[in-house]
Amino acid sequence: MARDSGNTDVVIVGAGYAGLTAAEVLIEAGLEATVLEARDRVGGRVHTETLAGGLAIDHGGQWAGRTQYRLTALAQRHGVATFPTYDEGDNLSVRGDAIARYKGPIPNDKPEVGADEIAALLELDLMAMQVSTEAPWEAPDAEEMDSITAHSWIRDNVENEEARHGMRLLVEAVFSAEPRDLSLLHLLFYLRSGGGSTKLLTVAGGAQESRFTGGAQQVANRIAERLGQNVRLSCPVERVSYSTDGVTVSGAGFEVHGRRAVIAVPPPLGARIDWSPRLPLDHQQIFQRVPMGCVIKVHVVYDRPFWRDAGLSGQVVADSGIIKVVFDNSPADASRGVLLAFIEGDDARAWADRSQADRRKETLRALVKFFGPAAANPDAYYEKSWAAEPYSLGCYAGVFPPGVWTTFGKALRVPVETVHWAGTETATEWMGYIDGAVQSGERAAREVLQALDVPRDRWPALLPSGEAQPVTS
Amino acid sequence: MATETEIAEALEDYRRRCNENEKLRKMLKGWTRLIHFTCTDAPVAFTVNIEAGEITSVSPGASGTPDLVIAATSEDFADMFWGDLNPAAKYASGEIAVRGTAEDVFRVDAMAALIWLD
Repeated sequence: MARDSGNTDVVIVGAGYAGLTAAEVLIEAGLEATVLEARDRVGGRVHTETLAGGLAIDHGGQWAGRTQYRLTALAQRHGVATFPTYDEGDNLSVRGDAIARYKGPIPNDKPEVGADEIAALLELDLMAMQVSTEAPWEAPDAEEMDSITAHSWIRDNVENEEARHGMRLLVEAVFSAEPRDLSLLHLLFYLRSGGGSTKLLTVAGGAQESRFTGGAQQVANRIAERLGQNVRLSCPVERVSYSTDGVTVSGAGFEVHGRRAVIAVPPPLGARIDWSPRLPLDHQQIFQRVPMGCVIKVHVVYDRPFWRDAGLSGQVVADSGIIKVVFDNSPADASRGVLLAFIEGDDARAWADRSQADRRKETLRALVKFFGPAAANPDAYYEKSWAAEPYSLGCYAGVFPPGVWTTFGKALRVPVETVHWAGTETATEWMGYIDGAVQSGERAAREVLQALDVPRDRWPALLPSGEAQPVTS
Repeated sequence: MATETEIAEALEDYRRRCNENEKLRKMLKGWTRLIHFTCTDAPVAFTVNIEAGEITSVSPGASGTPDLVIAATSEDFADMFWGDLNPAAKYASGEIAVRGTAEDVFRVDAMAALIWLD
């Protein structure tokens, strides 16, 4: 018997942004909700470590963009300020040993390569306009587009070899997975859900525009503070028993009964829960067939952002090596210099099981190549391998390989009796981002309000969304 | 602030470079649109006709019913048309505002990015 047993209206599994948003909506509408979180902290794939001296290191999701309306509103509501990602000066394009400076989202050191990439991105953006984010499986040619990978499309549609490589790197940077890992339909869905390639790839006006003062976990922490004892940490869920009457969620030493449940975890974690009765096949398949991206997020701390003296933004796009993407992640007051380096996709897979000392050495070697010898001796080195996190299994999000959207996509958000689904993988806007998680939590909570016949006048107002915004660039 | 004549000269140069850019022509093939460029800091506007991916006419003033309206300062327009300004950041930040269908906005984004590469 479980030692600790309780009753509530809604049991929420996972205290990431999806689960916390769902809880906030439900509680505002006057229901009781209990959030069960496996970790000893909230935030999920958003994790801020605050170092002695106050420097906040975001090991996970960290950015907000102006068209991520829900996240922006949530941060404002909870009094968490943002500041612009450092974006002054020149970016670096690294091709082999050649290093060139450029401005803007696409390197212009090789115009014919850049032109092919721009043309390919436009073609993808235009194709994506045919893909509804509510029902991508209904797009014309959906089956065909879901039967080939992003890799195949790039191979067949981008003439210039370096541009093909560049496109692969862009996919890698956006998904922390390889183009062969995801279907063309998923790539198009993703572009559409974020508002186009320019939004996904840019800093100013795009997905990398702003950072949170004190770190991105601040917003989650504030929501959790408000929810108080309704959030229960260190409660890894092992079993969910559901019927039309209600649901029981349990683990070692706890058991919570609710009228409804919201499952707000990445798909592969859903497979680790013991479901009773077993879930319909579609959901079992989604759990098995949507693997997580693979990324190791590295922070290298210096006494000051020395690269700024040379007129560099700190942003790098490299065609080879362990580190292919770099950002300046210094605090707003530039009291320290912090470089954020991503080890993504195949690189993360190759390096995940090596020693930290090896990764540190190789990362510093790359940073010295980009920024000179001053990069060789940092004050500190931090890294987070998300694949090694038992309660995430990877980052940034689950990626949809061929066949998943068209075969199982319809079931993605469909409740199973009293069980509802949230998590950024179930979002229609900004899937894979924090904003998508927020949207999914709000949507799942409103499904519950509907199902439990909570009068409409008690429902909190919808968070602002992209749909309400005018179409402008 | 750039004068109407300065913008007109820059726009003429932009027209030549767009029409000579094979990659761009291929990208915009079949695209026929009327575009208004409207200055936000002066009573100056231009009407640009694109027919099947080719800029066929540039005329001062805002005439006809536009498919797309692009608004920016006169200075930004002149710099952008000369290829001295990468408009990507200004687009993204809203300093250069584009009104039209999402598809058309994507094409204008790509046009701007491609010309910048030259």
